[in-house]
Amino acid sequence: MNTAERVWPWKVLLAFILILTAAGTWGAVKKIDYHWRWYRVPQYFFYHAEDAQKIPFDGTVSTIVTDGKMATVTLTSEDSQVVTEKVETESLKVSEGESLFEGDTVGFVSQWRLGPLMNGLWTTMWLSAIASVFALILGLVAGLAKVSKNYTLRGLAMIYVECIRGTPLLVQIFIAYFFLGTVFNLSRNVCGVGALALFAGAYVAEIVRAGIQAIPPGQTEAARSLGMTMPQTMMDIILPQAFKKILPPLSGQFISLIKDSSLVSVIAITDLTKSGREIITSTFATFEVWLVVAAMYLLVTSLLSQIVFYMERRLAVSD
Amino acid sequence: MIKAKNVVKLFHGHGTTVRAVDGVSTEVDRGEVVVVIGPSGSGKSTFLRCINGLEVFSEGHIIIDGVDLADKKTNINKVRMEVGMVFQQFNLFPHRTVLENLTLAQRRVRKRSKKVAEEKAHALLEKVGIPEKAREYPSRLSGGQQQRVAIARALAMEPKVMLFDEPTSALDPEMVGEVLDVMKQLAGEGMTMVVVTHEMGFAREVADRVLFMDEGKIVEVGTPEHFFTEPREDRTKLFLKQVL
Repeated sequence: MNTAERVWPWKVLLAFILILTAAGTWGAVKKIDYHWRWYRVPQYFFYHAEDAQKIPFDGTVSTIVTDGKMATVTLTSEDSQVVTEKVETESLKVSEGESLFEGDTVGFVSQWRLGPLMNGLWTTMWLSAIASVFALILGLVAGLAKVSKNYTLRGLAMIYVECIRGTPLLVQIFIAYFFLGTVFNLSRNVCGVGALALFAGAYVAEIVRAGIQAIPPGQTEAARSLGMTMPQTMMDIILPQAFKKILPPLSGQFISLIKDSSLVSVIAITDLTKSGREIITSTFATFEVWLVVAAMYLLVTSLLSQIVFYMERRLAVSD
Repeated sequence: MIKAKNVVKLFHGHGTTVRAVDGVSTEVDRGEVVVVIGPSGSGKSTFLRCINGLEVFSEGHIIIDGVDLADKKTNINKVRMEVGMVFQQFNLFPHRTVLENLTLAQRRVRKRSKKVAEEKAHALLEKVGIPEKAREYPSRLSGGQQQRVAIARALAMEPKVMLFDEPTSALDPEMVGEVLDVMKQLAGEGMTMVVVTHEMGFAREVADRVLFMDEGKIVEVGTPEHFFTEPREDRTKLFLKQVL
């Protein structure tokens, strides 16, 4: 059967559906007469900031040395204190010998700064990254406890997993912040990362447990029959094989974690989602900002997917 | 070398208790090759697995080189260093190369250096006839090759006893010979071996003694000549009639 011939009509159909969806959305937006302001969005990624350089005392401008684009201004106070300020030559507001009062602007220094969207993205990323590391450790420990022979360990792991999986993350974040955060005097970042790590850890535990149990018992028996201890068997034989098996569900869990991290905005952590909300209050560009925020999450999660895809390919050498 | 005294292994499940091994007593001398035969479910594999502690027996004693497995103070890992085991399903480590399969336990358990362990591994691969497969992953090998690697892996620990749990049962018929040849060679070198197998030809040719087990008990013990020419027990006769 020639599959190449049979695929193209479906490609056309796919393209048709996508175009139809886009056109439909476009038409609907037209109807409500929304005024798109895409031009307002880029400044929230990067913006050009002009910082005024001010004189810290009452005094005079003693010298101005111009060196191309920058000028160095030396200021002397009435009691002979001396400070120098570097400003852009074009923005110079003073001339040599001029007397100034404290707080007068000498000139400006301009530079590119990260806007709230980039800062929010950065917060989301480090929040997710730290939470992922702790979730992995927690999940590994709880997963091992779940397959342990010890009743107490199994019980503890079961209670942890059931409590976390049986309650909404949003409620857990509130408990972490308003209850635990108050009782143990924890910052909002610690509470946010902690809640996310505990939440994802419970799911990772189940994934780890399933991965360990998916390894045939013969592997443990072979390792033990060679005199290896149970911890050695776990580290050298079971976990490496289990890790390969659980990589796809594990990456799915971490992608979920990145998305779930948007919930920490409710405890006033300025992540990507909260940045988006703040921008909307000053621009009213609701559609644009949420679409951009969604695209930014999508970018991060698909990047992670790609990394995992390459890892899977590398681990497949022994298949 | 191995002394089993009245070994009982009970399996509990769903309100019933199965006496998988039911009072087995036997001795295996140094350099002796003992073949255990019997119908499936007769407890022969379970008994074999009791010898290196993969199954914890419920009653009795198994004494290996003077160490009693029933003694709570016995370090089972120490015992296992001296008792190699080969499984029906090979159980090679699929994420490690053949060479790593052979060196891992040497390094972790015997604490040998990488160099020493690899030299040992290469020598053993030579011995089992596949020196060229050292860098391959197990999945690239045929069943017969995998089982020979498994034998080499057990030998790398320099055990005093080798246990074989139906080593050829999972193999395609044309690969049985190459594995049995390695086992014969090993027997010829004076290795103490306990072999659970359905290969009657091997039993006849290599065994010093044959144990016939049924329903958890040793029914008959004897030399291969005795077994295959004049078995005493009716159950032995019936079994041999079915398999020969």
